[in-house]
Amino acid sequence: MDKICLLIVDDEKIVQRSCIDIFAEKSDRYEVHTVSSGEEAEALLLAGRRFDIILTDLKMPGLPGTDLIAKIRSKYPETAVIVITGYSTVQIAVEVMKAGAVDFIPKPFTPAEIFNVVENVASKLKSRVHPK
Amino acid sequence: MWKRFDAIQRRIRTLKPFFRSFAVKLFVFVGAALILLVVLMTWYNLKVQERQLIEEVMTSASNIAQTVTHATRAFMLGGIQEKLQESILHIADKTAGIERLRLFNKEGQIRKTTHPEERGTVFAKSAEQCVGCHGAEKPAEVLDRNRSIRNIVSQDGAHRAIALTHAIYNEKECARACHLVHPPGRKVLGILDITLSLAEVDRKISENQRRFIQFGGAAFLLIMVPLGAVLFWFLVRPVGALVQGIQAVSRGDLRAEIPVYTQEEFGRLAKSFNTMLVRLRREIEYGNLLMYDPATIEGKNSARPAEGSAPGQKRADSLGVTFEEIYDRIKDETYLKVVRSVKLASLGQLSAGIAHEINNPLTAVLSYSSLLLDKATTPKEKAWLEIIVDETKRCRNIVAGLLEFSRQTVPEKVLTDINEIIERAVTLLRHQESFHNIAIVQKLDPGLPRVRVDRGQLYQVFMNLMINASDAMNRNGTLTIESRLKVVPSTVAADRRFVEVVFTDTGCGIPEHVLERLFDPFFTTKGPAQGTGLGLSICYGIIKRHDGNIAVRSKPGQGAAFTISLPASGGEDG
Repeated sequence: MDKICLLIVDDEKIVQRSCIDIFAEKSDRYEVHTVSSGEEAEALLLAGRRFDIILTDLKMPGLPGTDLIAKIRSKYPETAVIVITGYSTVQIAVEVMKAGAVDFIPKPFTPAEIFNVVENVASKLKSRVHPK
Repeated sequence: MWKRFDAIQRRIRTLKPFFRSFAVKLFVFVGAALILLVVLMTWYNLKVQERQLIEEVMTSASNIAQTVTHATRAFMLGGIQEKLQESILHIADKTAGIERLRLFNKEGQIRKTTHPEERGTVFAKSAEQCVGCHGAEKPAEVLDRNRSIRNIVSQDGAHRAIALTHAIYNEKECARACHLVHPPGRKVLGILDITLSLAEVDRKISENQRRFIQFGGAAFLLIMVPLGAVLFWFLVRPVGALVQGIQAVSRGDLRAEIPVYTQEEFGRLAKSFNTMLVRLRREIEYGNLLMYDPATIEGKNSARPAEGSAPGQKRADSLGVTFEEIYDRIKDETYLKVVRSVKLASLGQLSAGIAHEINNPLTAVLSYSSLLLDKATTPKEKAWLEIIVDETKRCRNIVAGLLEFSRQTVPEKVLTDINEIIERAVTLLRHQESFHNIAIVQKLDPGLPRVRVDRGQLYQVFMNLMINASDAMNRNGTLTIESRLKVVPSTVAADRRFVEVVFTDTGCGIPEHVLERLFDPFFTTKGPAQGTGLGLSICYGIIKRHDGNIAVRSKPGQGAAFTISLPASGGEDG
């Protein structure tokens, strides 16, 4: 079975590292890449890299998370976007869902919480891919 | 002169206020002017009339004098002088008003007279009837009219009389007459003296005087009585009412409505005053309502009953408090409100920023402690790591609360039956462990008008208040939830209707120093692990965004009652 390829977009190095270490626990299933801004994520995508799921923060220097979501939705519709944010209110959750994110993880999260959400999204992706 | 004027002024100032009033001054002035006018007119008219009447008497005296002169001449020339006396008596008798008629000769001796007893009497030149001519050194031969008339008093002294002296001149016929009584050298032969009574004139004048006085009195009454009535009706009454009303308001009685008697200036003034009062009352009621739930006022009054109710102070009835009290309260409450909103706004911004920043390090702490917990081998390691994970989760909750508090979302208001939200909250909480020993009594008014609210936010508020109540009662007691309609009467616009929800618990109560800070963010009385101190300030923010009010009434040991009032939707909900 192919590994699920994840991209973490967050300007906080400690969040990047937390994610890497969390998913390292299940390294047989996940492959994790991290970048610090929306622009870097965009550059990777333009360079031809493809990800199954992109987990992005909303409030970052440069390209805001919501804009990144919109770009991914239009150019790479096969990639799912999950929002991770420290500014977690219901209102923001509703907004990011409207922008095209498939799920929402408020910071701080436990490894179990992020696994649950990512697994859930991944299973949907597989079911979508498999019929082809 | 000025001293006198000042004295009068001082005198006026000592009078009772009514007699100093403008209306009375005007009345007295008009009355005095009218009396003066009537008196002057009467006097002038009587004078003119008297002069005319006397003129008539004079004319008639002159005519009589002519007649007597002609008669004398005829008798003398006819040689029948004896008949003259008889004729004079006859003329005097037949002509009304003649009191006395005398014929003097040149020497001043009475030759003929209506009063036979004085016949032959000789008068000196200084006698009153003689001085007209003989007053000067050289006797005048021709008397002018003015000097020929004397005003005298009648013989009996009862009435006035007028006397006319008329000279009888020598004529050619007299000088040539056979008996040659009057030699041609003499100019004046004798004097005719007629006394005419003015009794008739006096009678007429006094009669007229009486008539004038009657007329003047009638005119005075006819003018002064209606004037007094008009002044009272249109000036004294409305101005008196105005003054009373203004005095009442200045004493703090805002119910003092002024009766509107007339439609002109004073009426308009009274109307404007009443409108002003109504507005004032409405503003105070509104201010009172905004900041004071009646429950709060009751609570405060019972806490300090003696304050602000000095004897003699009028109480604004509808409000149950004095004007000064209301004013002070509005001032205090406005200050508190401003402070509270500034606090809320700045804390909101601050907490939003902090929340975001804190969440990142918390992510790392929570992630790694959780990962370590999974790998923990000894019970001690496990226990310690559990503490880290749990405490980090507590931090997460605090930050989440901060974010919730800072959220300035506009409520999505929909028409809602408030009872539905209450019941939903009660249904959910009833089965919670903390409510197992709490009796929840619901007194919900089924006929309430609907309110336009954000259901989620109201739900949050009700849950919060109920959980607080449970904590205050140590999870054991009675929680009464009442919903009711409150109508705040307005004298100007339509009455304002509010839906009130009251949560009353039988808990430990809230001391006064806590009451003051109850809605402040981060203010809590719960233990360190139990509350963030944000619950009530979030509730406060939500209710304020619904144009409502949240108030609390409590005393230590006697439970607490939280009252939420929300404006009822006006009509459009059917």
